[in-house]
Amino acid sequence: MKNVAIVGTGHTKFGVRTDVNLQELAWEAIKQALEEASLDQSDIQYFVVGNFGNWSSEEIPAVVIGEYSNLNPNGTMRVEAACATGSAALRDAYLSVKSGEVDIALAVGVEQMHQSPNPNTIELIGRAGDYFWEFQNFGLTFPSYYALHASAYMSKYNVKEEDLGNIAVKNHYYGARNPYAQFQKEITMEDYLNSRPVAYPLRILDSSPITDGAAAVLLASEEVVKRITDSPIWITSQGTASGTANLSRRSDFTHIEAAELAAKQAYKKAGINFETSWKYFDVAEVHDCFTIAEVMAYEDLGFAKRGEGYQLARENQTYIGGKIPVNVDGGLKAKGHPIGATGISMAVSITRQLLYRSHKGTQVDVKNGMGLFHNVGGTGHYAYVTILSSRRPSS
Amino acid sequence: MNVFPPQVWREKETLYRLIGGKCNCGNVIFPYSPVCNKCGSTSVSKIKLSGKGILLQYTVTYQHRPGFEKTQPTYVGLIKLQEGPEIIAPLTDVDEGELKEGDKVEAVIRRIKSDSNNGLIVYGTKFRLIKDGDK
Repeated sequence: MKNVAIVGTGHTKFGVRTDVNLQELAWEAIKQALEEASLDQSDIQYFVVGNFGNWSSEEIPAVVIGEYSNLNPNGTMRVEAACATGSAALRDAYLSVKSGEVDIALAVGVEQMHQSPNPNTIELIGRAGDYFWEFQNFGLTFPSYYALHASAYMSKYNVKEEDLGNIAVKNHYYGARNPYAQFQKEITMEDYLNSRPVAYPLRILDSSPITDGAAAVLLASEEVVKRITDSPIWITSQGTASGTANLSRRSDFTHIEAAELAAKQAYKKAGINFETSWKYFDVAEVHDCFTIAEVMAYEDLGFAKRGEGYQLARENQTYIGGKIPVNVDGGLKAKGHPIGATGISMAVSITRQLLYRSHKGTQVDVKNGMGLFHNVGGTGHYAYVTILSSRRPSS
Repeated sequence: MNVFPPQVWREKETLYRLIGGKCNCGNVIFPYSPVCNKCGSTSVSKIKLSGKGILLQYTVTYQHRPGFEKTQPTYVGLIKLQEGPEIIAPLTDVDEGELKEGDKVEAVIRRIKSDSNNGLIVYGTKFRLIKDGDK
């Protein structure tokens, strides 16, 4: 097995991107990544497209993007892992390089959710679960799944609405400083408390938006990294797990079991102690599709003990300068959540953090040279935890 | 909204009668599955669940969904059935502020939706509160 590094990153503006089509959007990110690495399309031997895509018109996006971006005739595929689609695309590209099959691979995540009217998009997201039991018959929408987690968590640990509000306020604070973010606007606790309900107890300001956007990373094997860059960011390890489709078959709604399993896998491979995991990292990106998801992520990643995640936010420990800065690019909440692009966007953010290339006001102090991102598909239907480091893995 | 009759027909035991499975190991499975999700055994027989249970959590969803306009907002509960399984299902006949965790609920058959072209009606299970004095 070979060591694999990220040698180029690309990220588009997130938001309403109806100014371009799907392949143009993907190319914006791919072009940036190629330019950063000083590579061109002929250097890429394999590319993967992460795209959930139900709401957009292209049925076979991988080849449409391949043709437009001049990546033919390389092998490709489109992958899907719900909201963790980006991490799944990264995983496929990562494994293709790690195995020695290719030396340079591209992973691009792209989503254009505004191709469909919002009610249709809401309906299509609602299908992410057990379609027949939960969706078709009863008309549950996606926020209600996380709302059940929120009410379970809040009643078990006696958590207040303001504790979820802290997450939204923080992520908007950093979103306001990220020129790629969909919402570049700070909010106050009062704004939060006055925002309208979506699925009790979750409000509109607990929820990530409907977003268009793309992100790309170029991966290279150890042998060729030196020719490309002197500042690679290595993929130290990745853990992945899944959960039951039908939420009725879950045992606990106060955390995401698959995410915890994925974290423990990734930590084991990287030699990281779960209980003190926060000490190893300078920065983390977690999947805050709803504020409650970020609170649960703190615990599933070992940053806080069970039932104490909300206290990290209450004490501002996840701002820059705190114990472990989390989602300092605005997170899904403010940066936006273009389903297939999100995982790759997280990889881009962490890579740029470790290289001191983040936007003004969002750069953390890099002491350990290590960061991680946590990407959840559905409500723990899929989970990926990936660790990045400026140090080459020893194996 | 179109209704696809074979799909409704396939699901009829689950939707209309709350048929679950009971394994020799004692595990109760819902919806029914011929293989136990706990021990892997195929000695699973069909049982009809009582439909009685306790409300563990609930949410009220305000999002618009085509075909469900008449039931906005939607009350949704996480319910622990008497036989053991926890299921997520809509709640009916409730008013804002009336629900609390630990409430007793029971399953009832309700109209879910109808086909916008030919009027075919789909029924399904919802849960309502058992109020004091009911039984």
